[in-house]
Amino acid sequence: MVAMSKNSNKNDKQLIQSLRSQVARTEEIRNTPAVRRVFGFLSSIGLLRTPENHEGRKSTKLSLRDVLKAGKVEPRVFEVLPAAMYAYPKSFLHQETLPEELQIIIKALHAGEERTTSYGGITYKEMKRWMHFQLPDKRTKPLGKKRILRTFSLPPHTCETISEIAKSEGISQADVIVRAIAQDNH
Amino acid sequence: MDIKKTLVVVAQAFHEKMSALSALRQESIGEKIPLVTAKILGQCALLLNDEAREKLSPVGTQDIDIQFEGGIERDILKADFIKAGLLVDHDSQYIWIVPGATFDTIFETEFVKVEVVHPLFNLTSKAIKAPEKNRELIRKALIEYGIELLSLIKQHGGDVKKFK
Repeated sequence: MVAMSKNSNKNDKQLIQSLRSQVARTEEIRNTPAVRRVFGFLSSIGLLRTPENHEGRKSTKLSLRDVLKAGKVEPRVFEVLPAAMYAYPKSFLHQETLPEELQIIIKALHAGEERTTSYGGITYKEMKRWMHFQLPDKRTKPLGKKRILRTFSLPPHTCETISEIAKSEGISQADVIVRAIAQDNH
Repeated sequence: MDIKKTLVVVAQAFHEKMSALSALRQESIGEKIPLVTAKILGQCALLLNDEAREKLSPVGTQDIDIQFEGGIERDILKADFIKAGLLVDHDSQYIWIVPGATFDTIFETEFVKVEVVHPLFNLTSKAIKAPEKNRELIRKALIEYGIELLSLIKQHGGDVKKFK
């Protein structure tokens, strides 16, 4: 029993020792400027919380190759990536480098579909949660709240009426129409 | 947002509310309001612990895992946290806490206690319940916390080979 216990202790120490080089490699990747930029961006837009001050601005353009590297060292990057790409689509370059499996998941999330799949240890449900999260920048809209551009031809007097209501109530002309339809459907 | 500060400020306000209510309850039915405990778990708990933050540089999403204990007043505390801007994960109730886990108290009064799970037990729970998501974190934690963490994981049925 004592021999088995000593052996077990030795195996445990060997296991921990064997992790050192792997952890050192991961830390090297984590500390590259590219990966730090990914953490910085996701932190600056309010999706991730990090203990360090990562350099990153909302105006940063990120290569999805670097996002994949960051996701491999920290899967929570994958958890918030679909929401980040929905809110800041122009910030992500080289979309073709994403694995097909992940592209399918992101497309499904952006379309509001229900799935039971997962990626990198993150469930679809976990990713979907952030699609409905209002980011600190209120100019970005979560899934289901983004407005869609439409062009209509309206009679001149209707346009005048919309304009007058908007001016008198301090709302946008679009909101005048949205409100009228909501009232009509009530 | 300073999470720790927000937790303490909300807990303090909750204490004052319960203090007044408890006095009334004591007068009318002779009973005090029981203690409500908020147990902070998950990635936020690692971020709130100075040692874990230093050793592991944990990254978290914006939600916070809190399990509440106590009477019906625990729902009031939960609502107060949410009103203060904390994104309390409603699935926190399903998080498995290692039996015998220890907690560090960050706020405590007669009516409310806010405590943060100790990193070793937090990491053990992650290693057993979500090993794939936390693989790199646990590998780093095994280097930092050594045999103590490895033993806890094995003791509670975790497969340490998953982290090789």
